[in-house]
Amino acid sequence: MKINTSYPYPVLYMNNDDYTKSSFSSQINVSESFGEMHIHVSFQLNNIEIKRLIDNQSAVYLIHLECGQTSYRNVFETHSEVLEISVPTKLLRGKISIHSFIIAKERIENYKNDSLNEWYQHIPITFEKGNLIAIGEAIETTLFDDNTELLNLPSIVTVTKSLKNDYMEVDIHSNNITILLPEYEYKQYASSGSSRLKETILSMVIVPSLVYVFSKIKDNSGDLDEYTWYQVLEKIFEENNYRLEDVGTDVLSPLKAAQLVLRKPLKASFEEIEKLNKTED
Amino acid sequence: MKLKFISDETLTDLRTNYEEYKTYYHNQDHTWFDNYFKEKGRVFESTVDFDMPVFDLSEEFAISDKENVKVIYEALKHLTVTQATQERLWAGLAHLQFRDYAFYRMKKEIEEKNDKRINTSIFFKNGNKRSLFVHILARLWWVGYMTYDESNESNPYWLTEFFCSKDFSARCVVFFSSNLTSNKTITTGILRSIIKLDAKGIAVKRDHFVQATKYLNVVGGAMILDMLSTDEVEKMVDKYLAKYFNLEVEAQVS
Repeated sequence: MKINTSYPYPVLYMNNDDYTKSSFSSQINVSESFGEMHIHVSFQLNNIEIKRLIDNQSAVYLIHLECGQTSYRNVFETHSEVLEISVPTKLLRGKISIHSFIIAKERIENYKNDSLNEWYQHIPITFEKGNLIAIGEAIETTLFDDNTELLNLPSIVTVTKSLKNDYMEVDIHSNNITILLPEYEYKQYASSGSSRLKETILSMVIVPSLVYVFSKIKDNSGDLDEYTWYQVLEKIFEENNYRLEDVGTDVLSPLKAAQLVLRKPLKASFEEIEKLNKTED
Repeated sequence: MKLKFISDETLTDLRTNYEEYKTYYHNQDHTWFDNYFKEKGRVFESTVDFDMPVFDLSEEFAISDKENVKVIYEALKHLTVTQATQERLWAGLAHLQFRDYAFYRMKKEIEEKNDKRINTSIFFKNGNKRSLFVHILARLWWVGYMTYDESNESNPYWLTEFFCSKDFSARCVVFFSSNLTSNKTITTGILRSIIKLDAKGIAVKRDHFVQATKYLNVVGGAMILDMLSTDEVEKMVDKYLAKYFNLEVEAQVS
């Protein structure tokens, strides 16, 4: 997004002098964890009239997020001084730019502000919806490829058929986590790859299995850390600013850990079910 | 079946040694390609499942391009946009599972030994964003993605069909290389406005697309267009195109 140096109306901006004794700035912090980019923004506005416009909903704080490579472009609005945004990283790749503004939410006629530069005094000013009232800080950040998403390597979970079991079981004592399904269940699972309930079926099988796995991490019996799946999970947790050793303690429950690794599987399942219900209506 | 893609090393090899390999492309030498990709480490299987699409291979690209946007988008709708921006995926498909289609679509270029266009057809040679709308496979998916209208339940491809009705290759690049059209709300607004001109019997030309995006680019300098609704964008474009192309009279009549 290009920021102009001049506008056909006054803009509160650090690089001009349209206003006196006023300021607008925003602190933007970005972090990434388990498939989501989290953006935390706090806005500081020092101008009574503009603050009033925000309070009476004529204007909003706004964050503009753009990723050229994936054609992602979106805005997030708030009337409060803090804004939390989460965007799935599967929508983003490479360079991402984040801009902050205060924007007119509706047409504002006869705009008056005591801090306006002398030049603007006694000139009638109107803002149209979408016009910029103030420009804050902007940052650029880069998101690197997440190869684990596309690649089957290293795949640490194998689902297999068990001829003698009537219930699902999980074996964690080898390099891969092995999920054993009874014959009928296995057949259904194996043929669900392109079903419209793919995510749901995956959640049914993988979520409880991972909860089981994570419940075993704490006691680490049988030297689990020697297995490939343990090392891979350890790396995934580390990359997402968590510690695998903390799973099963007060810091991180096995249930939450499983949902983090699988990136909100319940949500994906219910979205799938909602879609299916809609098409049936 | 699982979607396959090529390793980074293979992609680099194919790109950098194209001069060495070009006769295999010119001769559509499937045996050579099959053997090349048999070598260890060349091809990876992804976790992405898909049903092999049946491409339209009509004589006229004007017909097949439109159909194939739908064919490829239906088959690979579940790709994430991050996956869909990867060169090794699209270059991989052009050499592996969709090789027949690639040869079909490059028929003219292969006959003329137009190596430059063969390169841009199967590799990303125009920058990360633009290549998505130049690569002969990626552009089918991306036009599908950008024009698919979920809100139209009876025909979610109504904008796609209009967009692909003629001048496909040029329209893709002209329309989608603008940053504005990254926002689907804006894209839909523009297309809905132009589709109305078409319905009124006006011959829609490349310039209609150019003028609409040009205008929004200028307006976007003074306002955040992303805040507007599709209807608002549509009305703005209606008004501007009517003025620019002197259509006011017709617009009022209808």
